[in-house]
Amino acid sequence: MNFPILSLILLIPVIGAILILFMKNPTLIKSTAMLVALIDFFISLPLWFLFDKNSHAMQFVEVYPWIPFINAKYAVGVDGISVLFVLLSTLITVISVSVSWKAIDKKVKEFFIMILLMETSMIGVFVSLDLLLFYAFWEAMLIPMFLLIGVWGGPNRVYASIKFVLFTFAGSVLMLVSILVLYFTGGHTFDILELMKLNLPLNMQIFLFIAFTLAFAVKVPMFPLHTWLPDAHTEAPTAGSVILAGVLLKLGAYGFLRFSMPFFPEATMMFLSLLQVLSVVAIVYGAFVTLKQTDLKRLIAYSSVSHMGFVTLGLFTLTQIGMLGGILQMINHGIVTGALFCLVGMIYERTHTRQIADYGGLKPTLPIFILFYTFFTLAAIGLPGTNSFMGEFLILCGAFLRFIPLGAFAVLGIILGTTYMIWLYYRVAYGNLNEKIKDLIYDLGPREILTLVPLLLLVLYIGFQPGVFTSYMQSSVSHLIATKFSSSMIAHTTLPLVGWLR
Amino acid sequence: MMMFKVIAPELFLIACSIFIFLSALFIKNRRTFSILAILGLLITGVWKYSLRASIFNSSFSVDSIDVLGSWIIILIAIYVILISIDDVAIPTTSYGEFLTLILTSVVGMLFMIGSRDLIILYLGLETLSLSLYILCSFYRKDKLSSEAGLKYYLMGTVATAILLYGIALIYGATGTTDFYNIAKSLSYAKVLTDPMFIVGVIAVIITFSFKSSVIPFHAWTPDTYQGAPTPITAFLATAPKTALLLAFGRFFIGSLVPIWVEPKTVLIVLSILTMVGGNLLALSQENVKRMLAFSSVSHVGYMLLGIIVGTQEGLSAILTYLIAYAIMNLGAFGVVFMLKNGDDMSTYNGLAKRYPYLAGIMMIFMFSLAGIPPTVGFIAKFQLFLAAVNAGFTSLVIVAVLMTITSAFYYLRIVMNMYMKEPDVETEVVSSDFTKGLVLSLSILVIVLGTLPSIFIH
Repeated sequence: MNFPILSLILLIPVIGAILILFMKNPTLIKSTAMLVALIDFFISLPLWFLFDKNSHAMQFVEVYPWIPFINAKYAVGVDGISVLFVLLSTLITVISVSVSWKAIDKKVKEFFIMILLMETSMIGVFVSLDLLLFYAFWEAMLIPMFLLIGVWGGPNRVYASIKFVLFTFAGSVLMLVSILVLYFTGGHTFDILELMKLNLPLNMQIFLFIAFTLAFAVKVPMFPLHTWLPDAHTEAPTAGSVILAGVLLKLGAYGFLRFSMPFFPEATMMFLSLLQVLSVVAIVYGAFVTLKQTDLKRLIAYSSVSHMGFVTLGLFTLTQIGMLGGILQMINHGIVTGALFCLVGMIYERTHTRQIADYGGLKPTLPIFILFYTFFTLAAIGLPGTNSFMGEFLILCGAFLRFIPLGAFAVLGIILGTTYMIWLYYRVAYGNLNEKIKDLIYDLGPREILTLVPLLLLVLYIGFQPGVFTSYMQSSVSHLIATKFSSSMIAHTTLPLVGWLR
Repeated sequence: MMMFKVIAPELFLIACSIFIFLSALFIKNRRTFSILAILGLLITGVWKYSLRASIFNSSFSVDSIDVLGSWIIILIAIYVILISIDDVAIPTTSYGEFLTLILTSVVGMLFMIGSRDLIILYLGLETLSLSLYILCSFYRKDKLSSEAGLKYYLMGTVATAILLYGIALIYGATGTTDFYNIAKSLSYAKVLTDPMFIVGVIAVIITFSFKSSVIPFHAWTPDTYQGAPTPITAFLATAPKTALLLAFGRFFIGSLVPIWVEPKTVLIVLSILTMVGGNLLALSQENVKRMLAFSSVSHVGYMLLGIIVGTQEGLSAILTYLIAYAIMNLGAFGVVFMLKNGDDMSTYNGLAKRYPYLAGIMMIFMFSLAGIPPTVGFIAKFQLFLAAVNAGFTSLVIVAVLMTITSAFYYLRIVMNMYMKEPDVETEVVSSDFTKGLVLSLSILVIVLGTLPSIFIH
């Protein structure tokens, strides 16, 4: 019997939330939340060291009966793809608690309960090896996020939260029907590893693929299902935005890797060119819309659409290099965009305005802030030496390998990305200090610096040592490609749109 | 004597209700009455549990599904009695009658659940309905309450008359009213084309639809739910549904299997109408009780799926759903009851600020009703959909699933009002700590059964 490390990671935030339920003192609540988040982070660290990188098998597996009547199990485990996301989730939770320390002054207790419940449900999605368990965590996530946006958000929070829930709920309930269909065709099992071995008839694959992919595409979000994201991001409190950008959006892409591709390989091939094109559209369209934004948070939110387009493009190249890039870029985006949202949140705490026009000239006044801001802007652009560079580079390699025009359009996204980030940087950092905010701003404090430093170190670490990270995913990814997408299959499938372009 | 042994629990409960009715002349303490009634119900339940038999040529029997169904009803009745101790709108002078009526309605429901014969089903249904008509108008000074009772009464009697008519026709066509013998006689091709029989079955379906407010026979539901005393609304929304779905489910599944195609088509149409209509009508309600009324209509639509499946698996899925439904609905109505002007939507504005725990509890019930995990509502829906997909009704499940999304709109609206709006009217909690504890334990049950469903699914 192994040490139940994954269950512990899942359980600790819930226990923390229950403890907080009985507390009254806000400082005590915050410290408890911080402590719980830190404990969970440190408990998740051994995953990093003990993980066997050479194996594509699930590790740290725990299986217990859950609903024996329908053969549903409580089964958890991680492979090279999910292990990094578990670590990312625990880290992002620590950051979210830290960044909310001063920003949250109403309903403090409920807020931190929600953050901790959110942590459990996010990690639950990544580690589930049982479809029903996965779905339960997937849907359960809606509740804390709905409240995080709706209660502690900005002026349009109610609209944004409802939109968020209905989009994602509508996306995912069809997945439930598909899960049921899979359950019966797979011989009354919810076991993900068992179901992966199925060879489903193409008609069924198409139906199920659409249902699953819709659910994931809403979460990513892919164009044209992305409209909930800017609203949710803009209205959410800083911690909410950080969690959204850091982890929640990754769940959709993770779903593609874990379910859509291995379960329905033939259907994936059929829809591949459509998904590739939608990814490129998201990259370019997202970047163009980002250029026009006047609100700091909305700008970063729209840039997420563009960045996530890169991620899905990488995954749907179905080449090892592209997929590794896609996964790496998910983590990169979580770190960099999470950090940018933290920065926006910190400055918003002081000035209570997110309009870009209200800023300017921060460079001489806030040297520490600008130091971090510069750094993360460069990371977002993908300067060599930062993590995003490696991710984008690998994705583009994959795209060019697959089909040259795909890569060519995606590069356009990088140029536009540089444009909007630099332009934003110019408007915030240079020029004259705006009168409106002159008396409000002061530089970052130790807590804020401490929040950002781990992210900064990660950016550099991944930037200079990407191999360390890709080595975790490598065997899982190559196993997926080797077993499900043999090279002959890819070569022989005529992709209608690609054929037309040729 | 065997005969009496099997129906002894019901007879005992009748005796209890008569005793309470008579002693109401001398005792005026609400608590004493309530304890008596609860004891009576508990003894009946335990007694029933020890029995597994059938009598009257198998026209009344007790099996494990019956026992579970009876316990659901008994526990609902106990809950309703417990929260109505606080209800000052029910005068102490008539509190004995109130309890008597609840007990007799339980007797009626127990008879319905155990019935394997249309006549016994009819008797049970009438006993239940007559008690409910009076209970609905128990706030005598309230106009809405009188209207509720009257409407329910007029619609209900028409429905039972139709049932009687249907039974007569079925008897005419098959020569029996017994579920088992009807099924046997159906193997003769003659009966299948007999218009008399078909009209008879349709009449039974109509009565069932009336009583369990299936659209388009639901018109009485919102007014009755709104007007009736809140504890009674909670009762009305849960207990009779349990009895109706189990009893009629048995009739549809047990008798009509050889000709299952035609009645099934009718039920499929009714189920779609009910799911779609119930949810769409609930969307626009400004009164919480009315909203919950329409939501309960839609839940019956989901449960019809279990009957349409037409197997024992479907029936047990309905049972699971009924348990879940009872827990979350009783809880939601309990919160409505605990608040002054609880049926007004604006009462919930900013509730989380004034009563964070109460709002949290209500939120759990709303998420459960919407079927979002980790709540018992999700597990119930899941099991029902599982049975339906297994029987090949995937497209019907898709309709159900789409309607689930629609329902999220109005359930979330209450959560939204509680957490995201500022309080604009004075909200006041008007109930004892006991009721609060009761509702709180229901909300804990929603989560516990939602995460560890194997406790109650067998």
